[in-house]
Amino acid sequence: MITFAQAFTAFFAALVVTKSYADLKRGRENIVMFLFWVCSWAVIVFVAMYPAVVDLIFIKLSGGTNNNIATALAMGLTFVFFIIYRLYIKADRVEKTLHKLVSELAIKEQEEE
Amino acid sequence: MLYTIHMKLAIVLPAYNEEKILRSVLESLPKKLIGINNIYTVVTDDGSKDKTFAVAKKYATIALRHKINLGTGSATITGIRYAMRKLKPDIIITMDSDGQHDPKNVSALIKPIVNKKCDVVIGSRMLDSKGMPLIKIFTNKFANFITFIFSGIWASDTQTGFRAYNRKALQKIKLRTTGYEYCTEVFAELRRNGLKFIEVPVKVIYSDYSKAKGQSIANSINVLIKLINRNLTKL
Repeated sequence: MITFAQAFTAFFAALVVTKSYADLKRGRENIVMFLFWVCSWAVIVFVAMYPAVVDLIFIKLSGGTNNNIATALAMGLTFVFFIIYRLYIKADRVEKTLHKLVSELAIKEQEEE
Repeated sequence: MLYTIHMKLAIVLPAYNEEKILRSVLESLPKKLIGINNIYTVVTDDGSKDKTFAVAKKYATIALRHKINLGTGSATITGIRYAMRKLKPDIIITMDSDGQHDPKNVSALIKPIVNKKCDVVIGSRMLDSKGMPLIKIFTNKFANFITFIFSGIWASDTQTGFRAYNRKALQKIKLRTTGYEYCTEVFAELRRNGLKFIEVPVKVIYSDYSKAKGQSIANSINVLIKLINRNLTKL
């Protein structure tokens, strides 16, 4: 029986991989990056389908107890949000710099004509 | 009549893949207006893949070209920047180049500025929304609410690209965003600088061509995130 969360994850993974494939076809993304996303999302879908795997890994890592699983997951989530935030800020800065460059170049070209 | 003479008007049109309609849009713009001595048209081709730039060069006063596609906001800002530096107009109008804005409304848009009644005029599609698709009405109302949250100003149509600014407003408004969110950011700047604005009803021409253009709902989420980011990084 597939839960809503599992179906949601699978749908989201399919969406990302499809987008990545489209980018690959258009030449916006290279094959290494495409494979990276496919593997990453395959792992995420696998974990969503078989969540018991996470328990097993953490029990192994914590030497037989599973007390630290919730803490580790919360920390992981916080880290992911931090990465997203940093990426967004960087992308925003690049976009603004690009706008300034392209805009000034357009004006300069017109002046030179 | 309070009309003064010797005013210069620049009409800024951002354009992306508009080779089919740009010529007719430019040719339909008014050649004479009460209170205006010179009318310039400034087209910013936003990295089009078709012959938009060639059409702009032939039929507009000034044609600017973005090397890559950066979005309507960015192209509009480039056009305004050029006009302010080189043409030094008293009034700037921004309008879409997909033919959805009726050129007959240009005079209604500049009239309050020529009469010195306000600094900015917003051409509102919502004051007479007859014929507007329901989904567009819903998206616009949602955007108005978002604008109210970020600027404290309630307006009937915050996402329209059909606007008129006087020189004082353009010197004071400092835009930090480059995409569609500039529409909302302008309202925040109006409030910050104490600029006066009014809304005038404008007619929208909904052809199959213009319906296919415009902002998607998915893009609204991106706009919202960018506005949050703008306000966070401002601190």
